[in-house]
Amino acid sequence: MKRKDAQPWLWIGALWAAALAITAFNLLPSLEGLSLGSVFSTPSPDDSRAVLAHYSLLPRLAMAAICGFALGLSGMLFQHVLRNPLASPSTLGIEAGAQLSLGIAMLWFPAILGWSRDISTAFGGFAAVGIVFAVGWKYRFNSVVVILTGMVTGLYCTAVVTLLTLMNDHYLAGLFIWGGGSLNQNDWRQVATLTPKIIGCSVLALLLVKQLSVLTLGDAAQALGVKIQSIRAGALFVAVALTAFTVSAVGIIGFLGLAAPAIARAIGARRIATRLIAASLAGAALLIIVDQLVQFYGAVSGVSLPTGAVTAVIGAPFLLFLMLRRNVPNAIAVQGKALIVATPRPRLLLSLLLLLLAAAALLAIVVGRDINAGWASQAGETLRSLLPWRVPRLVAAISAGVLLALSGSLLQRLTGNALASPEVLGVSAGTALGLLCMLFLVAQPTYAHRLIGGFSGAGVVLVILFAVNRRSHAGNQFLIFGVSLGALLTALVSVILASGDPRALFLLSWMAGSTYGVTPLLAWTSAAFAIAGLFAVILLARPLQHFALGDISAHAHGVDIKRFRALILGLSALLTAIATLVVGPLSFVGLMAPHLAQRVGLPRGTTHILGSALFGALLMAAADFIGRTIYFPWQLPTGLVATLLGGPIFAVLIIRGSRQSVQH
Amino acid sequence: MAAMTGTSFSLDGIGFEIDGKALLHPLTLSVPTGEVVGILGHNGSGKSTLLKILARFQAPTAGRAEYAGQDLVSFRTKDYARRVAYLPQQTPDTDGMTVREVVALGRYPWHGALGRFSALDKLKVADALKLTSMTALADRVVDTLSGGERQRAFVAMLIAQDTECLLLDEPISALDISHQIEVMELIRMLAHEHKKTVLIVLHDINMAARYCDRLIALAGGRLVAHDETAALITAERLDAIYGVRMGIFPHPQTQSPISYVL
Amino acid sequence: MAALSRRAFLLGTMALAPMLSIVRSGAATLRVVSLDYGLAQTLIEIGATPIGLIDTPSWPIWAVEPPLPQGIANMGSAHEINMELLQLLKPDLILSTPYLEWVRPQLELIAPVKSFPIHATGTSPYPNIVAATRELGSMLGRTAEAEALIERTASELEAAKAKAQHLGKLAVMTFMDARNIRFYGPGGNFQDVLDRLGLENAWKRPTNEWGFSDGGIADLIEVGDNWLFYIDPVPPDVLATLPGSPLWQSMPFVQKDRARRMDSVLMFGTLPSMTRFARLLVEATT
Repeated sequence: MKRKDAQPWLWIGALWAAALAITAFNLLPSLEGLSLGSVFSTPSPDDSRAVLAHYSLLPRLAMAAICGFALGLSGMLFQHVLRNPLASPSTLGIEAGAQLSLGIAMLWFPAILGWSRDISTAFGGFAAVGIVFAVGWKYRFNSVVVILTGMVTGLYCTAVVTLLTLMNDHYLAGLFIWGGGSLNQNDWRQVATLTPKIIGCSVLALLLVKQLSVLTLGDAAQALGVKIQSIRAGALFVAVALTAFTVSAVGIIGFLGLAAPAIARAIGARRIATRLIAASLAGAALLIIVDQLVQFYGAVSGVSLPTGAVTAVIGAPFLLFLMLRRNVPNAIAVQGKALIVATPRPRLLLSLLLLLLAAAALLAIVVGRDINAGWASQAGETLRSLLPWRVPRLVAAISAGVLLALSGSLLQRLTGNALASPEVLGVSAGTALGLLCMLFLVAQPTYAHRLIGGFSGAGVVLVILFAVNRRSHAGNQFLIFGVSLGALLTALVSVILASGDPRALFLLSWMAGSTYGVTPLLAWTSAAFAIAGLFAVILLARPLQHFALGDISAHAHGVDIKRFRALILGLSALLTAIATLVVGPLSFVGLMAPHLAQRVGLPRGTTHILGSALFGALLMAAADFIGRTIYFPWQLPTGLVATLLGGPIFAVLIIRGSRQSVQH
Repeated sequence: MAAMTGTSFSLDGIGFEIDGKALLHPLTLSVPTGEVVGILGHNGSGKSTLLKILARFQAPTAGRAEYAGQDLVSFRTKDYARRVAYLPQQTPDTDGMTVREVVALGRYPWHGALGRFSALDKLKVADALKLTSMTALADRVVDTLSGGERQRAFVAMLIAQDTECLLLDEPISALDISHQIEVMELIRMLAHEHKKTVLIVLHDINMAARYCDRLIALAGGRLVAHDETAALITAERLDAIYGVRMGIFPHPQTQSPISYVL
Repeated sequence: MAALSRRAFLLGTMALAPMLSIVRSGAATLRVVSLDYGLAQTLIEIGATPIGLIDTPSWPIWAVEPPLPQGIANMGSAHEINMELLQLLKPDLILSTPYLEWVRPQLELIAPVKSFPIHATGTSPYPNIVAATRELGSMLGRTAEAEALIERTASELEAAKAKAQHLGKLAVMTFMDARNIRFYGPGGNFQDVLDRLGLENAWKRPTNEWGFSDGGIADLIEVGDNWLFYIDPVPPDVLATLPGSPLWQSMPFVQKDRARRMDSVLMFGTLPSMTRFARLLVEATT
């Protein structure tokens, strides 16, 4: 038994030995011939190598160790309190929330940054946690729901950061490096300010150890006299604070807070105290290793990559690996559905929506700004000359809205999970990754190139989804797969952006859902697919009903589950790929539209499908008009405007929901 | 049968409802100390709800409950945990802990958040392991145990908690018959020799008849019977509880009543 | 890469051929919209002021010279050009860059599009800029003005060369934030100017095809005691924290007082920003 307990420490020792060896290999040439004294005490300004070692190499090393330590500890606390091995500052959206709030502060409240960056990152971090918990609480902290909400929150924050960057690309260059998590140091000042904060948090965490260990029992801990809610809140507070401090100092170090605790478990740390220490130490060693490798690569190739983005590029697939290896409980209680009252007059409601859509479309066609930026409703010759600009983008936007809504509706039905959507499924991200590859393979990609790239990306994701589908019994595992693809995409884009490659700017504007480059051909092709898709989905409405009662019931009612699920997955992937090429991967219309339809009283069947499609179309038509006119002459990308428009409404709906349904 | 020495719980019009739907209708009764009290009833009859209210897991929406003459709400969390222990129906996932570690968690109300794990704590853990025959398995990781062993580990945790009252929600549901008997014998011994009060939700009427001193029967959230075991296990009264006609004969050795469906 | 650009270039010229004849036949002023700051610089210098330009409000922050004449319409961001406004302006010619090739079909619905590959072509940009200037001149009937601009630039650079010899070796960079910087080298405008002035770049590491590479403050050690120029705009927190950094203070060029802040110069600019860069180099150190 004793030997077994020593095992984690042997592994930690080995990890640190590796970290030190890599550090020595990387740094010794720079330190050669320097005396210890000259490196650790204030060096003479003439000795440039000693200056470099003392003020840059060593503080950077220390910074890597401290940040790794903090994120490892933070991740372990999250995982323990939420009883969820996939929880981490990255997967809960905390880092992205902190980044968004820092970006907002940078642009509009620079005074806050001058006073304390910590305040602004902590604000964003706590806001993200607040959202994730508000949703998680409704689903009794079901681990998949919590992670999905967290990652969607994170992607949403990233989407907004994207918009800010598009509007202010010259000013926020720093935000990207910061978003990429650069560990560069100029002196010991940051180390000196960060260290006491991390030590303070660590002491608090250690004081909580005993309660945390009782917390392993979950709700039963209450019977032992533990004030569960306050212990949870305390531990989460410490964990968020650790993340916020780290983020404000060096930016997002993606997925380290996920990997370190996973390592602590894997090497056999069982008790919470052991795990907390092991995860912190593993995090520190891991970040040192990655950072030294990044420095080494930078020295060899001349390209300095942000360390945090590199950890994210490694970490996102790691999440997938964890997900597939570990059978995370993925049964999600279907709640609140029964309580949504179907409207007695679905036809009236649908007609009303159709009317609204027609009004929005008319507005988007005839109203605009004139040459002096004044509002005008155009007609005659002027309108005719503007139609080639207004019609294709409107048609494309509406089609994309319909396609995404249909896809979202299919997936939510299929999985019985209210949070399923094409954005979450990863087909959007797959399309984006395919496009990304194309951008780097072809010097000046034409529309056809991008189309091919996007479709191939979506196709690859589709094939993987089928494989996962064959392996998993419940329909929810591939959702995590999808969000981790999304995270991989944002990490890659931030690496590319941080490298200063101008191609990234095109990528950024497409990711933001810009429709201004849409050709009439593409617009009408999308429209044709949207109409065909609508009919196909209506045909599938009946067998889909059975899925609402769960797999077993569907099976018992004679639906060939595997084949049917594959069909639905394929269809929704196709619909998503077509829409994504038009409005980018981050619009979330596929998530929001089916929900909105449900909330207004179209919960089931064909009327639900029609309602979702109409809501998707309406959202996009409104976004098209607003994006085109509100900030004239600047054009806001339709996809992002739709996100910003629908996001808050959706958040309120899902959090408020129907309270009564929670208790059951 | 143990002598009646006092009252543990006394309930006065305790009820619980959600969205206007009563899961437990107002219920008044008092439970003596030092007895094994079985709680019987259908699924959804309000057994678990009653136990959760007693465990202060849920606050009743009506009425008032006392433990040892003191209002339930007036207890401090830790003080209550030193007097009343509760094992929920679904035992929690223990995430890699060993049996000994889980049992030691039962000592939490005594040593608290910052206190030392004393020699007395260690002794109580060892006793609890011995009483539940878990000593040999003490260093096994709970997740690797069979369902029965797991349940015994949690009973051990409750014993280590060293309270005067135990609330158990179907603690023997996952056990095979020999372990069921073992645990029930242990529970009866705790009540009769250690003067503990045990409230236990059971499904098996014959187990209840054999090991409980007193039975509370619920149906549709209402109290339908509360009496000493012998008085309650009769064909008429079982019919009232379960709505099923049953026959009764005495156990050949113990004379405790055995029921069967007619 | 090079082949593709050449092909795009050829195709562009061919598409323009019919229009070019119209130009030569006399129309004095073409209504031109520029979707690139650098080309707009040249247009203004040769007296063919564009009627529309992307992101006009940021011009004084990034391009500065030549001053932007009044009355140029703002076409919005380069990521999402305001097509409607472009349509309403009814331009005769749209000047674009290879990065906007993907919206070319739409742009061509409004007016002929001419795109000039200047940067990231595998060669140093100066010859491309000169060629583009000449072509713009001939397209817009301002051949003489274009030649004059080329001459003027050459002579101004020549004049600056004499005044800049004290600089010897120097590095040029911008601050991304207080800890990350971008150095300029081969492949970019600034290197071309340094070459013309007979100056040596102290930043020796390889640069990407756009002529820059990124690094940290510590990398500045490679600049040694040579001159260092950091170009505006400098993020606000940099100047607040940098002087307090012992690393910065210990840099030989800081100790010799050879670090100079330099007013904005467009890194993807054309001839006017090259003379501006040369002039600012001299002005900052004399």
